[in-house]
Amino acid sequence: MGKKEWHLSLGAAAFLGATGVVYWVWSGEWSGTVMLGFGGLAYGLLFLFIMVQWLRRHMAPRVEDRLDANPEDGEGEIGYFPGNSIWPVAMGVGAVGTAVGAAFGKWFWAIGLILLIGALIGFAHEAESH
Amino acid sequence: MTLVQERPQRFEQPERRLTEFVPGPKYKGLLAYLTSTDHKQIGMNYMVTSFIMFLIAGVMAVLMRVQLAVPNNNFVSLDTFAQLFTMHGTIMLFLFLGPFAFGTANYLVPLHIGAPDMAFPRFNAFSYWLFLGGCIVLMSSFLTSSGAADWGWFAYAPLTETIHSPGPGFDLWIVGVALAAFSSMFTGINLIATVFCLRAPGMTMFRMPVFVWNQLITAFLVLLAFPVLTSALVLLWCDRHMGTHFYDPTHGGQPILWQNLFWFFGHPEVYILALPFFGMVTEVIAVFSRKPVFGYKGLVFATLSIGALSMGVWAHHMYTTGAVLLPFFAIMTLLISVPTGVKFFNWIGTMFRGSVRLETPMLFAIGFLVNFLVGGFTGVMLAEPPLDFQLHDTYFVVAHFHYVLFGGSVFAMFAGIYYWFPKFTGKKLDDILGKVSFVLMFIGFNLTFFPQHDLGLRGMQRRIAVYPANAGWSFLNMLSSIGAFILAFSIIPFLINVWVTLRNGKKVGPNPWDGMTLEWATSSPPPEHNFEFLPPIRSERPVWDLNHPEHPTLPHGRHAKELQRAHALAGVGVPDGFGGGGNGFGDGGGGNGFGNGGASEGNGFGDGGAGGAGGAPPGGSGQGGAGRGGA
Amino acid sequence: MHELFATVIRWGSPNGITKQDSNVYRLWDITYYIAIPLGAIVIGLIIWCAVRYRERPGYERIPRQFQYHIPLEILYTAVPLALVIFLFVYVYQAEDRVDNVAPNPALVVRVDAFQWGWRFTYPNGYEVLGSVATEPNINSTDLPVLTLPAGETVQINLFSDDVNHSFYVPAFLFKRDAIQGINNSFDVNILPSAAGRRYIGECTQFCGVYHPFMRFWLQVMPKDKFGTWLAHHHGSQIVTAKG
Repeated sequence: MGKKEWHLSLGAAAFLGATGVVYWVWSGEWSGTVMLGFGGLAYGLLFLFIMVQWLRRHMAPRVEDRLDANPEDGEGEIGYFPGNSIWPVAMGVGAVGTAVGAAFGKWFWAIGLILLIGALIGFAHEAESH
Repeated sequence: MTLVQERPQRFEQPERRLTEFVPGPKYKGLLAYLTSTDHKQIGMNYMVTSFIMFLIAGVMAVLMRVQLAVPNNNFVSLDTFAQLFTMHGTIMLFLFLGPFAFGTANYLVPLHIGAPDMAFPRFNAFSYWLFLGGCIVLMSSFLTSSGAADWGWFAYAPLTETIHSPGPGFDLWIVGVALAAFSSMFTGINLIATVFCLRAPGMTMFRMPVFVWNQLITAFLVLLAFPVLTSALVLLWCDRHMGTHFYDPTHGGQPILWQNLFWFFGHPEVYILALPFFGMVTEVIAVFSRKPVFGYKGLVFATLSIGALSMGVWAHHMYTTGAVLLPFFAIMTLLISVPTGVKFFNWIGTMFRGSVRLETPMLFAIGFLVNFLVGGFTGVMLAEPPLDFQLHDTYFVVAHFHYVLFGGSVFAMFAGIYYWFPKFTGKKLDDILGKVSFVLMFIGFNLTFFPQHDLGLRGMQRRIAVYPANAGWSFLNMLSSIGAFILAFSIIPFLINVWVTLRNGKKVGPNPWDGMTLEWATSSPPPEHNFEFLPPIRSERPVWDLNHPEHPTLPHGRHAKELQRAHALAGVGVPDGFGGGGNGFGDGGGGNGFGNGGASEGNGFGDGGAGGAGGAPPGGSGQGGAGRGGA
Repeated sequence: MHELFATVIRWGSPNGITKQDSNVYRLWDITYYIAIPLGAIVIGLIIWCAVRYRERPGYERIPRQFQYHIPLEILYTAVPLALVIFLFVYVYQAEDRVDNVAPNPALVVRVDAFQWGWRFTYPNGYEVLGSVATEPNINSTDLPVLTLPAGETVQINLFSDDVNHSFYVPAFLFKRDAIQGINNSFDVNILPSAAGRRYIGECTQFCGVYHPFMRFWLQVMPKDKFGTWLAHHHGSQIVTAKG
């Protein structure tokens, strides 16, 4: 990922961190400070990830970062785009079942969890087998 | 008006980017729908589901307005009324506006940036199913013995503790909201990954349409806000089921902690519900004024600062608790009005000296501007703690946020629906019916919510099912209820319009509005994996550049000066940035500019813009190559 | 109709009865003095642009494609920023005065909110307790009465027995939440001109199904009569609204 992307995540992290410090010093209130601080950390993490990617490419811009790139410059594999798959909806049903278990107790929980874990395995396996 | 197809293909059609598409099993019928990982199908699912939720919550609103039309009314019971306003708020905020915005993001962001799909198609499908599950779970809570949750959409502790609110309906609320929250988080992750990693060649960050920027910033906010909400919900669930006392003051818990956590989510949430719609309006205004977005970069930075500031304003919902740092939240909140004002001037600047087509999408966009301005000003009033002490939790607040979320976001949503409907279906919604719908909606909306400002000033508190006859609120409430009926009625022409257009509408081709952004370069609806070819991307509106090579965005500032110098050297007609004569820019060498005639190394359209500089020394044409920002 | 007419003055706010209200009114004034011209300009520009530059069907034209005007952009960022900072100065002042709690109030009243009613306790132990009947009637006037003297600083300490409530007297232009775990105090200094009159008070924070019925009266008493009134009241008085 390019330069603008890490600028953006660094900006978010820095703003949240700075606001967190100001808020803490001014108010001394904990919950807000913790939330702002962790928000800053979260985007700091994103920043580090993008930065590492960027340095690994020796700071070279990708085609989408170049002002003069043309469509044919982007030839080649750009990603894995699976077609129809039954696993997302199975996972969804499992997750909803598990969640409803939080309201109605263990039977929903058991069925939902089994379905969720099964579907998750199928989901992962589908990508792997590809 | 020129359509992409009708133009002779003067540029070489680039080869399709090789992507690894895994076909997967082919299903038919319901199974095809259930297993689809196509971002367009999922986006459409989001939009249709959330629109149905909008209608359901709208019916709830009408029921409430019937109850409040006359004092001391008995139309619904006290508890039903509490369930209605709780579920109305919950549905509108968690299951309609946000998911609708995500639906448009799903459908349009990949198209806007020239991507074949979202970054994680199956993950994307999974988040839709979670959202649908959330809808079903929340709606099913009406069927439980305790009825649906009746604690208000922000569920203040300790009213949420089991001793005040026992029953499974309340737990289903927690679960349903948590499911919708997880769905939002996953979509947020997906969006950021898509925008960061799947842009087409040449689509730099600062060439993305404003809509995409707004969706990206929304996704950033989602990732900060929703985890806090889900954690708060988990703590609440533990309080209700595991015997913990996070929010229970009788055992040393802190009710104020819930408020802090909830609003730390809740305020960014307001911007999550607004920013995507700002993006839609920006696109609509630009296209219907036939001009580039005025001050594009300023607009992006304004949106970034709104997003940033919105993280530091949560406690302006808590001024009256007496437990927050008032000046900090007051200044942060007031500061948000600055970038918001900047946006207004950008929108006006886009219309200024344009060629404003007053078709239905543009009417909704103008309606948005007017309504949202009122909502913005009342927002500034509520941001001032002394005024908030007077107004908090009265109908003034109700009026304010409906001006922002209905007058703002929903009007913008309709602008977006009318604008992108041809892209979604290939058919254009009827303009006359659309205008009827707009006029009814505008009148109904203002009649419903404007009197509520005054009700609040007269001391009518929100969330009351009955009010006394002698309070002086009767007339205004009646007015508001009449408005609500007009507002509800205004949806009917829209639904008829959709029905009739889908059945009998004529195909209008890929680019009926003379659109500017990449989605108009592909067919309507787009094929699987979106693009047969991509035009070269040299600005934030590549399709306009393709269709109107003689009308590129005028250069400005440094670029304009350099270009002028180059032109002066070459003795070509001088385009002077802001001051007119822009046509000379393209006309000078339009013919030889196409077909690789220019001096720079780019092909095809890349040089079309540089046509005017065709005879200039290489240094000069490098600058001109992309019109603005080509260097 | 006279209802609507009365709202035109004071920007629609009720007639305030405390000394602190002047701060609120001034803030309303400043806000509107900024908002009305600014709003008029913006709405005017929107409508003017839409009308003046509208495209007649059949006369399609491509306007000049300008996009940036840096000085203008700086101007429309700087002016709102200046206005906001100006406004904040006044907000800060007004907030300081409205929130100010005097060290030596003439009277301290404890107010407890509960589901669903109010309990007002005076320093001599006299308490007024009012709660909602099982079949309440919103038009009922049998509400607990909070009696306060005019012309003195009264400190109100707010507590909640259970869920969150909010103490709101529209004529005070002020409200404060009652939340368990937070000790909220605020001062009111009622103008002598309000003496002898009765004002409605209500709970504004949703607190359960009987939330709309959690109302009370505020009875303002002249300062000299209040002392004797209080001296003659002891024990507790229980008001239950009749159905």
